Amino acid sequence: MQYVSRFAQGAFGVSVDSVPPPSAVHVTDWGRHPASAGAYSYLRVGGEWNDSDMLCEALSMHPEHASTANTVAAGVDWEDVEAAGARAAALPGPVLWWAGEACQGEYMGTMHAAFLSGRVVAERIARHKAGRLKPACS
Amino acid sequence: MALLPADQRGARDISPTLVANSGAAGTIASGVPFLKLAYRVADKNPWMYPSSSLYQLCNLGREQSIAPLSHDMISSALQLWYSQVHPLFHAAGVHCSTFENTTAAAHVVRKMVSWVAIQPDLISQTEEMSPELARALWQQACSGAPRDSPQGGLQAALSYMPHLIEVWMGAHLSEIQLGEMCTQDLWSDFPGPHCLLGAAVDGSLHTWPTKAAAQTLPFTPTARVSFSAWVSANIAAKGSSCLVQNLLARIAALAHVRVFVAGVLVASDTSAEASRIVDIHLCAAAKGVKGGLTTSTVSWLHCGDGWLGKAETWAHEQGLPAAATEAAAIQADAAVGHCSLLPAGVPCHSLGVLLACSAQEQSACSAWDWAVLHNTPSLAAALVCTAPAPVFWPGTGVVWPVGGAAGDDKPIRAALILTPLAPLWHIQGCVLVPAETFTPVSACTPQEPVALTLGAPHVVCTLPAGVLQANPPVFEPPLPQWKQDAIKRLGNGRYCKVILCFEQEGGVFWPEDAPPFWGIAGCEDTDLGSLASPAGLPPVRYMENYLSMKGVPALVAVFGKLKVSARWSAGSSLYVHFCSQLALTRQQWSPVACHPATLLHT
Repeated sequence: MQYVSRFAQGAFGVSVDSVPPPSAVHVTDWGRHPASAGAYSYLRVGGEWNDSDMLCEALSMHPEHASTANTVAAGVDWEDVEAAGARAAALPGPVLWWAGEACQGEYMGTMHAAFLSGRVVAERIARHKAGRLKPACS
Repeated sequence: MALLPADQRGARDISPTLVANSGAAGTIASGVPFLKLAYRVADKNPWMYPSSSLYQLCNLGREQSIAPLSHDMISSALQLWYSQVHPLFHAAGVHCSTFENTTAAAHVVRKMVSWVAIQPDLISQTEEMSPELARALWQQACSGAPRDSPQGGLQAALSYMPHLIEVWMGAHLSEIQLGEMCTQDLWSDFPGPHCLLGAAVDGSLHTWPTKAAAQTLPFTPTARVSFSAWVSANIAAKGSSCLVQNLLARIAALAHVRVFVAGVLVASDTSAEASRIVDIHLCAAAKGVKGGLTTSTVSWLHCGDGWLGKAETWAHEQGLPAAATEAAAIQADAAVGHCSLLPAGVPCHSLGVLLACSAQEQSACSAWDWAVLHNTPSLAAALVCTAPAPVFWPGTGVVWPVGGAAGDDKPIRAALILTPLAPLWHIQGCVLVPAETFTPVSACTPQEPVALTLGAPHVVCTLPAGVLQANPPVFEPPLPQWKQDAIKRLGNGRYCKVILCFEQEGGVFWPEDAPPFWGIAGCEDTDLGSLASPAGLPPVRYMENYLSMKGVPALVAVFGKLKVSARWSAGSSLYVHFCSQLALTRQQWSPVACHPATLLHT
């Protein structure tokens, strides 16, 4: 507490007694929380510009998880993508969908990115159910 | 607004000392790294359309008679800001002497400047790249100043910042009403697209009484509140350089603060009127959500944690069930709302309340009672709601809407959500099987949680990137390689915030007019520096003064990485560390000590 007193006097110009102990202390460390393992995602050096698109791409029940989306993933061979798309077309629709702030390229890392991605995926599922939409990433 | 009306603005160079013009006049000189940046900004920057900010909150609900600001426009401007202007501001918060004068550094500088000029759109928002870019830009700003001179660096920054603002705003400094910017831009998020919100609030409050009189407003507005009181006082005392001063005061915070907008803006004024403004925002958000806001507008309406703090009240007013109301009070992004300071570790689902309600308004999803939320900084939250009652956990037991919410026996119709509900749930895996072979395993009690297998025609994975990287569930069949690669490539940032709450009779012990952000400057030259990092603790990145930001008597230190126990004592080394950092920031960035004139003429 001597440090606190010293700084209080020097920096705040207040008496020692007027620097109280905190009434409560809260600590957040999402990086250490096993359920979050971090606070936010971001594109880093070496990342692809459309990583978020790839993340949000839904997967079908095909054993190879063939992409059913029409998004072309960077670094993926075109022929592979087309072949995967063709295979997927003959299979049931996508089953495993993805959402979250990391899946939203525009505002990645923010709360509203998560918000938007949740809306998008829910709408896609709904439309897919209705047979009106080919799943695709925006 | 912060810009003069278009017809009153002249067509001239931005500034004699920065021979780039962002397009308002079209006068361009070559050889300036920001030349193309300015060009790129010109046709995308919402500020180019002075009245556009007025429309932001006027587009609530179904009031679509006024053309909304283009979503693409906002998006592009935000992207530009993050990639280029933002890093410079970040850099200016770094002590000049920290830049190393090496050949490699010089090479990086040249490289990065050329990138800025040639391919600005290739520079993404990346944590690794930003410092390098920032150094390059900083070197530009510091050219001519002694490298190891803090005053020289600050002087360069001080003279440079307004010009950058000019580039961004596309107008001569004399045409940018700096006083307005102080309130609307600097006290909101930063002078990029975010500042639209501040301007929009101001503009909307200005126009709402008229609408209310015409009975076209869906709620009752209060009188317009002027945000200029604080600024007037500061400008009167310090002149227009108040703008620069506040820029510097906030620089260190900018790089890591992304999710507050209106909360900062309105709560910087702790008066009762400001509190009512928050109410207005929340009411507007509520009305907007229920009225079917456009996506872009919704995103802005919900990105302020100041609003989330008010979500509890709103949820109550909306007649949401008690569980939802309670959950709405929980903190977001480790931020402390107006209403509550909840124990650390409690996940945030306040936005889920908004979502759950808005979902009911989504005609496209009317067949699917859904709500999905992955609240980035805290825990992912995801619900499969079978209306009427969205069920939130935490607290007394596992409440997972398997088979419907309480009192509702509807089966899950839509999708399962993979989300980390730890410690209540641990997602062990995701197995895709043909529907006819699926056998559910049910039964789970709060007292005796057991492995539970759920089935649904769709699964939505909202696991945070960090979980997918560090502790992913087992996917069967395995995720394809390209998906795994994309996950690996993601960066995963982390915050650690330490929030100290103070309850004092007669006010807090620190000056009530202290700015909301206290950047950390170098402390090598002071004897305080030796005490800045006791016990090998990392330095505080910046501090937040919640009294100014949110009206809560609390101080927040934001660390990058910090292993810290949630239990503090007043004599602990971390507390000492906190206070020493606090003292340093106060000394460095107090309105008196940080007065630009003081720095310039030292």
